[in-house]
Amino acid sequence: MYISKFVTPEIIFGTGSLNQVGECCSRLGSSRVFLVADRGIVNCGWADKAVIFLDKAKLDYQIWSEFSANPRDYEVEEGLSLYRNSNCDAVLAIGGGSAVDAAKAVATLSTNKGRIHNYEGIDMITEPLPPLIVVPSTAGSGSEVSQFAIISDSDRKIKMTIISKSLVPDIAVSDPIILSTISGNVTAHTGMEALSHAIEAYLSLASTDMTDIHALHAIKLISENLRSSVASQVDETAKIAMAKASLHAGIAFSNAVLGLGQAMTHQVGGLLDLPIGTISAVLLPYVMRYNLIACVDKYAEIAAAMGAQIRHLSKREAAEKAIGLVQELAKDVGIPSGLAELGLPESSIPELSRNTKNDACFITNPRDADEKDIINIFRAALEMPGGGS
Amino acid sequence: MVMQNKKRLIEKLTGVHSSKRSYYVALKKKINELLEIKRDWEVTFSAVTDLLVFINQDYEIQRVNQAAVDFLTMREDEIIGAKCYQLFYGREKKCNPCIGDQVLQSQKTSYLQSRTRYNRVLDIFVYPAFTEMQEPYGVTYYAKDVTSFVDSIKLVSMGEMSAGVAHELNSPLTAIVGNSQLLLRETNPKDPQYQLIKDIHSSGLRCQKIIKNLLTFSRQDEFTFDDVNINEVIDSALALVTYQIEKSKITLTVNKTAGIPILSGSASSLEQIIVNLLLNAKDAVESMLCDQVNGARGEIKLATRIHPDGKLVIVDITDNGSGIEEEHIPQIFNPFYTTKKSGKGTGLGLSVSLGIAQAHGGFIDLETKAGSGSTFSLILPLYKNNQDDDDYNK
Ligand SMILES: Nc1ncnc2c1ncn2[C@@H]1O[C@H](COP(=O)(O)OP(=O)(O)O)[C@@H](O)[C@H]1O
Ligand SMILES: [Mg+2]
Repeated sequence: MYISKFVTPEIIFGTGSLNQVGECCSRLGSSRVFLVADRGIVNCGWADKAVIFLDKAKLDYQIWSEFSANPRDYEVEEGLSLYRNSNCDAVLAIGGGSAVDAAKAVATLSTNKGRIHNYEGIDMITEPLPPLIVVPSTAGSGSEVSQFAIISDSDRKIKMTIISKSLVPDIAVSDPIILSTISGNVTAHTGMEALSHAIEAYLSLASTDMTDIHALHAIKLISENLRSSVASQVDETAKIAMAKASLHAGIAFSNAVLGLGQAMTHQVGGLLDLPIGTISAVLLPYVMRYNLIACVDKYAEIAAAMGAQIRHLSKREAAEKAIGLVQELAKDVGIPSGLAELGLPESSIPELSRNTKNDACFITNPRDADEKDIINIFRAALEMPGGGS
Repeated sequence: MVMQNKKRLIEKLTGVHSSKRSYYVALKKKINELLEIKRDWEVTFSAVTDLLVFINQDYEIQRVNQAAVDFLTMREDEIIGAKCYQLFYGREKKCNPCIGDQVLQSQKTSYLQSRTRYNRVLDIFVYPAFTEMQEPYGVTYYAKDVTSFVDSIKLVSMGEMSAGVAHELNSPLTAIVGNSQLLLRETNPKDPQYQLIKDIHSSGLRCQKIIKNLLTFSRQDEFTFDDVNINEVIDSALALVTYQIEKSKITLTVNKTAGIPILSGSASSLEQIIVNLLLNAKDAVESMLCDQVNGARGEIKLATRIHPDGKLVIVDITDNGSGIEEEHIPQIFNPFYTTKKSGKGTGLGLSVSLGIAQAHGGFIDLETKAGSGSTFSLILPLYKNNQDDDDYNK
């Protein structure tokens, strides 16, 4: 039994809750807000909407959108000079994982000296961050509640994981309405990202009763609502459920951390400029297969949460069902079934495997693995489409 | 071993031993830093033996150093927040004019010598203070207590002694000047004694000049006040000095504002101020012309105006002469301070003039730049309602 800890930000949830952002910022003492919103969000008009509420709270603001889908170190530094030059004193992020990660990095550098590279790893941040308020625009990354930020190192071509309690936002504002402007494709891979988070957090060595409740609930909500959410941008019930699922998954993985799947995903993500959700969804069944013997009981619970009738099955049969259900869901929402489809060169596997072992997320994986094991999982995912069961 | 290691790693990862960095810690550190800076400055300021006082735009004292606390003989917490005019002058209303207001308006440092409560005389330098946004938010006073100096020389001994001494000297001097004048007329300029007699004569004249000044000085508080039209005062002053100025090839421009109300004062004393200021200006211009080979044209301008608030009349006398080095500004109003050749200056002109101005509830302001000229401004109140509305001088 480990000593554990459970942290969440203040969470504001509800349809229309975007109207809270102005009050939130001013309550936290801000007078000039750095509004981080990716271009998609700006184009959909959500940034303008947020500005209305900032105006209402009599707050000045500076908008920043100049970062890529996988934010890079130098972009974050440009963001920082804009933050400084415009005399901002709080950060408000509206967007998917990339906007939130970029916002967290700017907030970090605004009070912590040097480059973002200095803070890679666990608990490297020493100075408190300015108030950080996050409004997720996708139901997936969970970064609105998490203590993680991922930034690309443009020289080393890898993704840096920054883990710190200081990265947990002060307030997460989740407004399901915002999910309605997200395309089906993005809804699909972000939803699968949330599912990977929930499953790996549930299986994690650091999982606790508190994280398990959130993880299982997220798995249930996703398997019941992701299909309909992908199918229609206006299915309000599905959007609300997915917004909740993202929060629950985020709370679970921020506290229980993840596993091998996420560690491998980070490596592939450093190489291919693809959505994290797509990569982790492709890898998930193969990693689940590898981890199965570590926690058959929990797999059975996953199957049950995903709606399988397991009463008449053996634990092992039920566990196998969980993998099948994940694959089925991924297939239904249009996720490719193997790494070959994503264009991963076979030759990169040894190096990716080596780096995987150094990823922080690997520590909490339920089954030990050496480099060869990881190579085998990568190979399986590359060569055998549908290779899970 | 492996178990232990894993346990440690996982506890680190889930942050069992770390918390969100708190501003409380950062704040405490910052506060301590600021307290240290505050203490350093306090030590520095309290070591300064002159008075330092910061006053906000509502004339409330915000900060004082130890010297100021000692000067006011009050507790610091009684001083902070009190009105400057109350503590320094014992007034119920703000001074008129208020040098703090003037400094904030002109955004320039100013100087003033002033008699404050308890009969103390302060040399006061006033500096405007601005926020980062360049908005004025108060003034800093740096004041030297010069009471002993001024009192012993200028007011006590000068006032009482000089009148008597001057009268005593007057009749022997009349004899010296008169008789040497007679001898000069009867002596052949080629006679070796002629030059000696001439020296006696001019020295006698110089002594008379000094005595005349001393007499004015001691009579400061015996003016009889009448209705005075300042423009007429200027006309009669000009009648006395225009010739001298123009003889020196200096252009004199006079620009009088019409319709200045009558004020109450002593016309002959005020005239003396104008004459003094004009002659000083002439001397300053001449000293520049001597210095310059391809001499620029000397210029003196005299102008009268009414202060925008309508309560003051101001006579500006501007020259393009030598100007005054900043470090000498505090001294020029002291009696016997002169930079002129012995025989030329007495060093009494400005101190007498200031004394007269103050007796009228006014003062003399000065703006100068070494090497390019000066403006001396005689500032007089137009209406004298009651004693409290007087100048700083009590
Ligand atoms: N207009 C002026 N320009 C430059 N210096 C001046 C001017 N007026 C006065 N001063 C300086 O102030 C000194 C004191 O002036 P004052 O009291 O009138 O005595 P005096 O004229 O006899 O020297 C002068 O010696 C001179 O140095
Ligand atoms: Mg003089």
